[in-house]
Amino acid sequence: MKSNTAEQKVLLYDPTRCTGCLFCQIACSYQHFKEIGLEKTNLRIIFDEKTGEFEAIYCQHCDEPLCVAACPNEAAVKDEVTGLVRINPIRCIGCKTCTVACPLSAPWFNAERRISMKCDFCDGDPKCAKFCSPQAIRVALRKEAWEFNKNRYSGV
Amino acid sequence: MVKYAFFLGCQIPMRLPNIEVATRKVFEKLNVEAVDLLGYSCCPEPVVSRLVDEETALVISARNLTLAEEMGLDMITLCNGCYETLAEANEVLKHDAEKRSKVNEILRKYDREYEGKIDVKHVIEVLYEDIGLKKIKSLVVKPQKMRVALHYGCHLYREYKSADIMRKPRMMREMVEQTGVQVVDYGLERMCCGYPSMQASEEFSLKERLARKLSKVVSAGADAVVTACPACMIQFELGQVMLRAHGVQFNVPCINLMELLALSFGVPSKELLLEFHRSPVLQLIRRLEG
Amino acid sequence: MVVQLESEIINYLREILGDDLIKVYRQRERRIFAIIKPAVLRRTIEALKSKYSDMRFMTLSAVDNGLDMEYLYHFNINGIVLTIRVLRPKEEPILESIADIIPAANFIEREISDLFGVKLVNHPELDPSGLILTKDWPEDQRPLRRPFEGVLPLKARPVAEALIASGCVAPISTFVQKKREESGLQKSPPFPFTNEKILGEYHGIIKASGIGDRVGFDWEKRRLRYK
Repeated sequence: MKSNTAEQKVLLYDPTRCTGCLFCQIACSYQHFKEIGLEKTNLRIIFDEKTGEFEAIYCQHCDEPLCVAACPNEAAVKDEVTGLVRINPIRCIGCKTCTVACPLSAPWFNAERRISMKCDFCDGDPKCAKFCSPQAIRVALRKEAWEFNKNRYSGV
Repeated sequence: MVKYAFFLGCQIPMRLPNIEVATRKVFEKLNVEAVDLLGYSCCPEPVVSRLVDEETALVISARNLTLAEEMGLDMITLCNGCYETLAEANEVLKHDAEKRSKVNEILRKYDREYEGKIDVKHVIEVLYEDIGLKKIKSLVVKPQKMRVALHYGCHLYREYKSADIMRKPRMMREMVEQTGVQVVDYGLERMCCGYPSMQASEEFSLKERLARKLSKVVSAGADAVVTACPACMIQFELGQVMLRAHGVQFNVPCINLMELLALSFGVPSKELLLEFHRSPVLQLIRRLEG
Repeated sequence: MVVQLESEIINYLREILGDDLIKVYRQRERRIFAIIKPAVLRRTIEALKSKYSDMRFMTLSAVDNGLDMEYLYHFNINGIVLTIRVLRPKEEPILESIADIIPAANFIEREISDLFGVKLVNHPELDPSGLILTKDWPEDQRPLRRPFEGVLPLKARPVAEALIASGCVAPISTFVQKKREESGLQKSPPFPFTNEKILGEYHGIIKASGIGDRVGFDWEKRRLRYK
């Protein structure tokens, strides 16, 4: 872990607060595709029937992003200052390597545009966090996210 | 005497006047004076306006808030959605000087100014904090002998002062318990009813959210669902009708918190416009009254 | 020298147009934009032509932004590029010809008319269509034309329309009104639409916030400009 990235902003999802209203998905879909729908979104909320809990598939803007490492055309790039990982839609060749390389499969393949798409942090003001009533998804510092995810997922 | 500016919203007076009737009866019994806001508009509705045109949404909310400021009263809302929209706008305008001056620039043309003097409160907060459970309990003359499942509604979890999202839902649960009902846990209390996703995907909303919730409610043995929000109520009642077209049969009555309070305070059920319900509430009440 | 000519052009436009000049701005050196009302287009060009005899018509470009057609007339005056911008609502898709004043505009006007499916008015050619496309090209399949709609997604339109027009998103039925009166409530709650004066204030406030222009709302008919 690089200490200088600890103060960067990332999204943090707390499943114990989520109600599954999918406002985040609707907001994301409108923000990026001007549609009110659930299909084209950069984050997804899923429901696990066995445990009765929600879980989100969303980009963590990793410190060492696998999508960037896997991209054959340097379309996926990490901004070293803000820490955000983005896919350049003009450079992307639609090979889907990033969707396979990402452990969460956060990048998804947009069949209509024939490129991979992923969270772009809404240029610093994520709409999903803005519309989340219980603040299940919110903007947090990377060190908070490390702490939270370590507590929640260690040993899984 | 507790006095508030009364924000009704759109759905309650236009589609569910039964909630308005019940609320006014409850306020009368509890000595809450609710002053109507002359010329108030939609809060506005979040999916369309807040998402599509944030700036205008803020101006419309600010205009509604100034109506209450003119009277010098805090605002009380019945609907979870209106609560979040107005409280959020109030919070943003109080702390963001740039947005406030932008909004005020428009409002000033019509002799209005947002000053940030008032608070927006949900009716649950008002009844719990200003009236108190004791007073409510003392007025319960007709305990409702039924088993109910609670549905709080997503927007009720919005908190500004603390990180405890269960603050208002807990208040609601304690209040419901005063009316003599037995609250049953069914495990999916927090799950959304599906109303916001209805606009995005009807099938997902009905099958993945509403049907999932209702099947848990039924297997927990509840007689009815109690909600605090008119939008959730529309989803529970209309959604059950629509689910039949998808081959899923449910017939669970859904009543509003205010109606439950009114019934337990001894307000005759025929005064409460219960025929507006699309779920078998009337049958349930008749069965209880014997 | 250049700066002097730039301000001379800007002042001349202000002088001849007055209130019909919506906005004029200098984007950078040698680049001036003027947004004018469609009604004064011909008058403006005639006036410019008579004042600047060495003015050269560069080209005409058109943009279909969904709700309106925007026409941009580019002129070169002594090395300074002046662009006259005209916005015409798509309810009536026309392009007013200036080919009798500026003969060089003849062909580009016909091209735009073909590709965008806008009607050419007062063109010197008797039948100006069929320059780029065939004469029997279907009216509803123009290659550069976009559907007539604003930013609102289909599902959001009815709600947005009701919100702007009446200040309330749920319509009230006579049945509900009757039931409300029977149980001692007001016939209708005090929404803006119940009082013309309040509705005027409400409309004024949201009009000033700019939603009408952004989503395409017709304030006279009180409905969205598209379905």
